[in-house]
Amino acid sequence: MKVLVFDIWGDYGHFRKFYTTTSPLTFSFPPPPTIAGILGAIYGTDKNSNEYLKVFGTEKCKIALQILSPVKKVRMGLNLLETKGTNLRLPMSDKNLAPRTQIRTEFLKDPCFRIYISHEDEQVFNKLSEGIQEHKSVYTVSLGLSELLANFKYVGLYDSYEKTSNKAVELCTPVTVDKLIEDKIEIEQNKKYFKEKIPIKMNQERIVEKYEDVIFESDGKTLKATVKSYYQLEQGVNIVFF
Amino acid sequence: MSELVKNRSEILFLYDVKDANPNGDPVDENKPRIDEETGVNIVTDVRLKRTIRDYLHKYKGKDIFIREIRDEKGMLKTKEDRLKDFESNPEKVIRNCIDIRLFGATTAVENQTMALTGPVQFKYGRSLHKVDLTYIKGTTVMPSAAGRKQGTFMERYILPYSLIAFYGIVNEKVAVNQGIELKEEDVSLMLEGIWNGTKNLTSASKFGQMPRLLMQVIYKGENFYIGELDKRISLKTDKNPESIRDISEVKIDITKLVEILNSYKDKIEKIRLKVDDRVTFIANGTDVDLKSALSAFTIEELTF
Repeated sequence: MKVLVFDIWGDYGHFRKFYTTTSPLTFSFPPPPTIAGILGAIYGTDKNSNEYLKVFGTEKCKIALQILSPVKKVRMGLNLLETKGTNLRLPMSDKNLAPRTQIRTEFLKDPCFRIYISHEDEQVFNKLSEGIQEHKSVYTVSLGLSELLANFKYVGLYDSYEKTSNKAVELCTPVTVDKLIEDKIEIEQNKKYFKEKIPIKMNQERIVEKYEDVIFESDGKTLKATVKSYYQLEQGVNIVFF
Repeated sequence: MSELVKNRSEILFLYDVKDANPNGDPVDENKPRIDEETGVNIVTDVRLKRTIRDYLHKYKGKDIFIREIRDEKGMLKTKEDRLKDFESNPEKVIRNCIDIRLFGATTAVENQTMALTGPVQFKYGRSLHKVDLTYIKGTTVMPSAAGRKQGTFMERYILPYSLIAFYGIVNEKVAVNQGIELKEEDVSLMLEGIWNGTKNLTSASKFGQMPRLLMQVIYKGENFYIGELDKRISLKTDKNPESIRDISEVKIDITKLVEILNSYKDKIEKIRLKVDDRVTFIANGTDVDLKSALSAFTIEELTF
């Protein structure tokens, strides 16, 4: 199976956790539907109908991600417009009726990821690969919010082979818990293990159909785990798709 | 009639502030925003957009959707009221308001949702060096309440100096997809707003801002752009970065910028440029004139 590999990075990223509506926190990396959106921006899927979720949805498109720079989170205050009708009064006249609302927002700092993509539809895959290779993006690429502009770089197109093993293998991508055999993760020294619940599958109405716990090493180091199946790229890197 | 924007372009903008606060953090005592890990000063994209909007409204008489409008009672207009100004017709808003054509808008008003992605997006601006945060305390002649004999104190945080780089993209495909007729004139006016608006902010917290370099790289062919122009320039100085106080104490290294532009020469249609004459550029270790360093390109000087 052909796998397209590219890197994406920026100054800041924000991938809002679904359970934080008023004090926005960020995931440590973009979940698959977000990556589908990034691919959609490069490829140029229609923005008005959420076409990206169809073209790059989990049915057709396999997505894996590797954390390249340590996950760092910072908080900044954003001055947002208060949209509750009753609050649009004279500013500063009453603290409780301020026209703006200050929200502490969590950002990823200096995020950098390697994305692995395979796609059922060869035409889509080739057009996407070409766009990334020539640094052509139909829409503007960002990391979660429109002002968090990102840059990307083509790494390569590689052959990959699906493998199974009942022994632990070294994986460079986060692993969803449902892919593990008997929850087998070997805890190694000097590694930091985290678990986050992320959306995996989203339909075109933007309703999440599947959430999954995902385990990752926050400095981007490898995980040693026993998984049902994984893919080995021609240069020997092991990845697991979401 | 001005033509529609047909090309992708990237914008690089440098400006500096002296003894001022380029962008306060409302949940941190209105201190200038600082990346605590590196000491770099940050300015949000919305600050720059506000600068552009205010300039286009006050000096150019353009209609701006997102602004403070008060009724007779001093109450602010809500987004509902503002939409009604345009007969609740998003198309009319787009046609009339230059800021919506440039930056888009989201309104979550009942039965009248408008969610437009702007063709122009800016990243947060970042200073090219570590900054020094200074706390100023002063006295005023006004007391804090009636019946007092003395004035109250004022306090504020300022940056003695910060040279900030902004980077943005103009995406013609977004405009088409969102049904926005973005005209060349809109982008030209925005550039003017960036330059003159920055200079014209003369409130106590912003006075002392000077635009130093504005560059728009216009591409030909579809969808290609270089990316991250702000990361291709760096600041050279003999001083401790925190003790820089003036543009004359630094040089802007454009070696990498010129290199990357030259390597994509055949994909660049032209470069629009405005430079402040107090800036010194260097490339490969020697002082250069920016225009001659970019002699391989069609240069259009911005005049405003």
